[in-house]
Amino acid sequence: MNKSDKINSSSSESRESMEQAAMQDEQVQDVHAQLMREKEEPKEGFSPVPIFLMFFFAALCFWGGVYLVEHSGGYRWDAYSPDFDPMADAPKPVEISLFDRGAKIYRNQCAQCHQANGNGVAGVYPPLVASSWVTGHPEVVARILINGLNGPLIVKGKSYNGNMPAFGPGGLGLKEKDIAGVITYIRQEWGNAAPDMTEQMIADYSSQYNSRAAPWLALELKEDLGPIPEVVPLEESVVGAEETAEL
Amino acid sequence: MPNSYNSSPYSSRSESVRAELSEIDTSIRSAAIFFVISAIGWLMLGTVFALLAAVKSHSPDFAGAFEFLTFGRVRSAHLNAMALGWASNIIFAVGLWIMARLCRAPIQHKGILLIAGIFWNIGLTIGVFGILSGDMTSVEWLEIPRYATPLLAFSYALIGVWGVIAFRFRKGDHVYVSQWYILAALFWFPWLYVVAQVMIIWFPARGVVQSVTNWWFAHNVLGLWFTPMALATAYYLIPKVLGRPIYSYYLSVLGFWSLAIFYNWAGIHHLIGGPIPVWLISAGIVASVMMVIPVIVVGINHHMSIVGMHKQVWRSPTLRFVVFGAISYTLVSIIGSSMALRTVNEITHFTHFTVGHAHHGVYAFFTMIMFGGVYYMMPRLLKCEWPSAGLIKVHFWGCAIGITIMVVALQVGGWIQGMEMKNAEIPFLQVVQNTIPWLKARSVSGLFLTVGHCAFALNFFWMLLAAGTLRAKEGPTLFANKSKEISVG
Repeated sequence: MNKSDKINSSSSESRESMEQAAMQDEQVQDVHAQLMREKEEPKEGFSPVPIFLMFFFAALCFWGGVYLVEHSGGYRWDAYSPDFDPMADAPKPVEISLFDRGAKIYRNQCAQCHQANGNGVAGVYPPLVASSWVTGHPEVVARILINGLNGPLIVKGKSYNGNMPAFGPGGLGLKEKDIAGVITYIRQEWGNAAPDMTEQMIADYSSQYNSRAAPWLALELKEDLGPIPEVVPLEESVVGAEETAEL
Repeated sequence: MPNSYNSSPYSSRSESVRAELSEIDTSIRSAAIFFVISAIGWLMLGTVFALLAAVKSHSPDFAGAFEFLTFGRVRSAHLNAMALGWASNIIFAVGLWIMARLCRAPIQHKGILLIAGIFWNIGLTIGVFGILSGDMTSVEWLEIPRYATPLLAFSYALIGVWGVIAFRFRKGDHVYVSQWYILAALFWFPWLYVVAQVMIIWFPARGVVQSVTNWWFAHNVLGLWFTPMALATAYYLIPKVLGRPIYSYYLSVLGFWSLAIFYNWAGIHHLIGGPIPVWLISAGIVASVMMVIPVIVVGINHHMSIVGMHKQVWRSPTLRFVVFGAISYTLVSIIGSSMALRTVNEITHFTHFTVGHAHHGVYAFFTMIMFGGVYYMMPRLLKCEWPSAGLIKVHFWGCAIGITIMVVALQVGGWIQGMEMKNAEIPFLQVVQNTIPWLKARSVSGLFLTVGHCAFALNFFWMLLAAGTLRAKEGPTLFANKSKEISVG
């Protein structure tokens, strides 16, 4: 097939336009050679997107979201610092008092045995109301909560022989804040009026007794007690001070 | 004729398509040649302005006696000559040509296109004269005085519409990736330009909204006008020259849409530390980093389309430039994304690092690809071949070495400058003086670029004026001995 045949075989329309250009034969051949040399118009293959790219892009988008949340200044028009914290001015969440925290813990952890009214069950679970074990030296009640209590015990003239579980890290593992809360609660509810058990006090007692494995016996409880820490009086808890001294 | 077209696997097929391509080439010929001539004219003029500005930045007394050649004016004249003169003219030539070819739709009223092109260049000439005579506005990237801009906008509309019309009357079902980029960019640019003109110059918005608009515009000229046009050119030329399909349609889709979604936000990173609501800046930073997605996708797509054919790439003048540009696209974009991060930006902001980065993008990426486009397009329009492979070689090496020196010098020097500016122990004047060796290196790089541009212009006008004497049937102008392999254009 020679070159001029090729030209004849192309559409009449295009031949026309070439003639319009008033080219010489040789020029036509030139153009033809150049055109036929050209590769096909581009096409696309359909290879899939590499999967690691999709993971990488997902990670980028995740980063973008986190960055925007961290540095968006709450989308306020008047926030200019990238570290502006839109929550800084917001009212702090109300810290619930030790007493309220303790009330909650008591309902969940203690009320099954000692009852919601703190009276216990006669002969089985000792009462907490007006019990000197509860309202007396804070270290006593802290010891009981942290390590538990075993064996015979006399409360308000009645004898008990039960098994109080430990709530410290060796037992049920309540947070120190919760232990402080629940002790504060039982020392101030139902007419009891002993001072707060602060978190700091529990932290001190914990550091002493956390390592102890055995539960306390009633006899040991009042031995080697430390001095009563001075509690900054909160609210009306001062009233209980006399009773504490009695012990 | 050594490389007989009969041996080409394609020569037996689609002759009517090829004849159609020839018709399309003829239809756009006069306008495209006009745009290329204008583009090269502005390139040479812009190079002169660039050299003046570069030398003045380390030797301020140089040509200091002429008011119209003061640094501020020459720098802005350089920017506008290059961005609206060189870059936009070459986009009109190569972009519209590729669009018409892919749509298989000849330009119907080429006279209107040509006249609109003449008005664009008249408008720009008035604008650059305005800048040199002291009428420039104070807004970076929009320096052209307001008596010239409406003409620019109007003539753009008459130019860009031809790409849209070609698309409207396209043949065939499949729309190729280059067509997406070109069509989108033809809409993006007027949107950017008109909004920026209205909100900053004609009916100025209040306060910082102006600077937000300014950097939204300036960065998007790069990202939504130059970048898509260069990518469209690369997407057209790589498979065209190698005769091999683009690796993956899915990557093309992902690359296009992630660019369209993210780029528009990115410009605000220029205002990091400024009195702008911080969420806007953070959104700009996130979008800048997200630009990693289209960049990696396009990089993989191009790389996989080329892999294994490096010899052909190196032999073809077109692809040597295009691949240089495509690699630069990956590099410059990754650097750009990291520059948007606050910790990096604290160092690079207000230093020569940014200047180096701008040239990395506009020159090493965009301009190099467009050179490749001209090397492929002109033989088709003029129906002859490039006269001198040697001049193409000088062009390539002059530009490749020149831009490499410039980017390395400005970015290393700029980084040092940034570190020193953060150090309160070093007096500011000392910091300025320490940049001088790097700025001198930039002037040297400018000489390399000038040599390259002169070789390009010489080769081009030689080809233009001697058109017809250099026969196409002698085969394409390539770098190496062409006797053995199937030729690549």
